Amino acid sequence: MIGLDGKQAPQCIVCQQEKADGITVCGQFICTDCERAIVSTDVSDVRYKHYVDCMKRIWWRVCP
Amino acid sequence: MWWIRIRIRLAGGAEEVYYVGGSEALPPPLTKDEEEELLRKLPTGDPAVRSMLIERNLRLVVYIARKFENTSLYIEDLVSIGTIGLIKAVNTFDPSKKIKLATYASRCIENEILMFLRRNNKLKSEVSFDEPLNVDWDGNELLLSDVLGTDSDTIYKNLEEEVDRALLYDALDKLSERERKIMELRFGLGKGEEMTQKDVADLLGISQSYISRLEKRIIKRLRREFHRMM
Repeated sequence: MIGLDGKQAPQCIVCQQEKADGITVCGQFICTDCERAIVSTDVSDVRYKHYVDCMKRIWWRVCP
Repeated sequence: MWWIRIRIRLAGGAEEVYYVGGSEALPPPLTKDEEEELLRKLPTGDPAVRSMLIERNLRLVVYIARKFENTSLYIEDLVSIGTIGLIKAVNTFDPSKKIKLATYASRCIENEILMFLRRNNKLKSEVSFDEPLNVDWDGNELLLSDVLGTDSDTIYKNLEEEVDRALLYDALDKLSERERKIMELRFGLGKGEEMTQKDVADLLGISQSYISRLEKRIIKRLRREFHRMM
């Protein structure tokens, strides 16, 4: 998806879709829909484990 | 093993906190002025503001996650769960309240990890007490119930109680002086002993039924504050 600025929209690390709006933490993009979903999801929810796994992308940096 | 490297890196000290599996240092914390400016803009809903507040508080996540390293979770899970807590904190933080973001975020991060641990413990406790662990030469089974001593979640219970207590005192700060006084007298918060509604009513010169109504209203409010903080 191409944004209004002509740039390729970033891919969300949670839903893997290209979206225009969202937060970027350490270069990793989370779309607004997924951010809202994360905020409202309890640890007992089946989706929670998936979110935990996705968050690892923020922390992972390849060793030099 | 790569996760051992992480543990060594994370245990390196407060100044040098590295990304999981890498040598790159985490973004530095915000200065007081930077944070004030971002918190002023937070209610506008700008994702860039939230991004910055989350990114520059990641060290807080590492700091808190490290406190739980002696649990069943690996550090990479702990920091991921903590990150979710931090995202929740930034999304629910109300700058108009007289509380620092770091204080609020710390509670949210810690609470997120504790909730996850509690959930895991519950799942583990679903294993049958009659689960055979071993069988001897005579065919006698050693059952899980034979070796169970104390509750497996005793340690976490204490931690959770500490957090709950801290949250309660924060919530109490939101009450008026009179409301707080009623709660302190009724439930013996602090050093005092619990008093009956009648005793509190007599002490404050109001009727017992009025105390009862006030009490219900205050507890409802405290519960709301509690949920908001969690």
